[in-house]
Amino acid sequence: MKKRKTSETSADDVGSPELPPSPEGGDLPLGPTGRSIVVLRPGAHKSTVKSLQSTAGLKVASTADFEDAVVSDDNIGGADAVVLEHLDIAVVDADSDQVKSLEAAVADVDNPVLSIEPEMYVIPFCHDAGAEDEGSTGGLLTQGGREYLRGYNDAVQSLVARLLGGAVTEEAAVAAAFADTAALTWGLQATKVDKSSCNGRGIRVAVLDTGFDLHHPDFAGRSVISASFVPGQAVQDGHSHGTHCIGTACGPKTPPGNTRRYGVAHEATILVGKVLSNSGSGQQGWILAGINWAIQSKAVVISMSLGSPVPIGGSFSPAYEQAGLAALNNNCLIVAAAGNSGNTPVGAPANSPSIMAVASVDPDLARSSFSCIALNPNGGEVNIAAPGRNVFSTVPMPTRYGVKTGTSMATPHVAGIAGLWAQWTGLRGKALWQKLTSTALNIGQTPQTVGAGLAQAPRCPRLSQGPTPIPPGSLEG
Amino acid sequence: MSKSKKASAVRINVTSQDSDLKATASKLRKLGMKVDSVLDSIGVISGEIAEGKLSALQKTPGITFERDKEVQLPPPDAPVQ
Repeated sequence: MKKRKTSETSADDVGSPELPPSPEGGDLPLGPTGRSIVVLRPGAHKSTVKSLQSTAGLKVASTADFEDAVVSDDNIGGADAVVLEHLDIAVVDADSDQVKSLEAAVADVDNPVLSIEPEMYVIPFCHDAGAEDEGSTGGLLTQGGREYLRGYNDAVQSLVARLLGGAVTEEAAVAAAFADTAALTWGLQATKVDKSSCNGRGIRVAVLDTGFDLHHPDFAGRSVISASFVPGQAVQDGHSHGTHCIGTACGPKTPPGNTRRYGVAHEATILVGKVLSNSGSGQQGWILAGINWAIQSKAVVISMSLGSPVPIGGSFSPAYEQAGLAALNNNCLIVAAAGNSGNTPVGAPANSPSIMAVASVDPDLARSSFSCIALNPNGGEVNIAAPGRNVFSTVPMPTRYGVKTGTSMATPHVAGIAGLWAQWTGLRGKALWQKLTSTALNIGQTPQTVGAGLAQAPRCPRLSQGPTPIPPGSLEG
Repeated sequence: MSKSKKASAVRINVTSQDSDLKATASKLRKLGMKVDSVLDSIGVISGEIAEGKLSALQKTPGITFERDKEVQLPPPDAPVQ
């Protein structure tokens, strides 16, 4: 194939990374390959070849022209596009103008081009997210290997479903209609929080952010413990980000008036750690101090809707990783926002192996276009996903409520749900992590974008008969 | 904070493998670090040090240090947060 070009694929691909270095020297290539994957209308093989030629001026080869359908860079004779006829897919090496023509063709119902997306290098993830049941593989596969195969399986299923024009799973099809109702936000419905009898009582949920509106009427009478790590600034939230996140993680079951329910762990004790200033900035040292405090304050979950971008090939911060490990060893799970830079690596601290990275999904349960993806090994994986688009929650008075979008909004959903699981099962730290990922809903997308899938709340059917005993030291007085 | 006073000072977070964090902190002070916090539950010491003294720190066994990285949220009304 001829030299690769960087392609502008869509407006959503904010900050697409540069082409990765060549795989020579043993480094795994990462990120977009520079080519595009075009999904074609099934069976329209001949018209497709014509269409790619006429629409985008591409030189096209087809597997139909090769013996045994074996295609490699050696035998395609300098073609710009290879049509994999049995898959109804073309791999296209198009420049940005050609990609634009193809994108325009997607909108044309008469054109066999159904979709176009950047081709990504696929890498096996080596991070051991925990010793899962080794089951039918007899322990031959590592956790990373299983995740890789599961991702492959998901991708094939998703592809087949798209080609057949059907839904990926029944649940995903049902889920396509999520919207806020008079009683509930869409996020609480999608994560089945509304079906849960758990409330987070006895569980301490820490949110490290811009603080909290301590006088917010929706939280009157709630148990709140707070500390500020921002020099010279009180806990009171002068930004709104922190109050929004706390609303999602711990907001009330029945907000005053006719407001819909927006919060998950409605009886949890709230630990407010102000680690970001009223202008939204924070030093890593303040954030680390906040984690240290939350662990000492017996938090079961720490929610961190914050981070900074990490380049392709970038590694995690040793300090964040040591903090994450210390948390797990102290029966505490840290969840952090994957980041909002689109098809770029999961940011820090979410890229620490011991910290759970949370991606965002839209109300149709598709990964939000801004949500960062797994491009780096050793902690750079996405671990789980949660609702992050158009999330209704609290903001400081007098405005009271607001709608925000981002992986920042997905993260406190997971924190609250972790609190419910912790209450229901008594599990903590790494075991709680595994419970969250093993119960996540498969939403038919690759682990590269949504990890184990959409976080789901426990039903807790026997809560009234008394939950599993909670380890000593974690109970509120 | 005191950036203007000490133009060459950098904020760092030191990760210590030593369980006696207080001993590590006094070692770091001797190397010229202004220790702001000793975070004993996570084994991290935060503070400030002159840029020129980083190389000595690099040679100290049992610790890893990294320059503090600032986090910046978008404004409250940004479309994506």
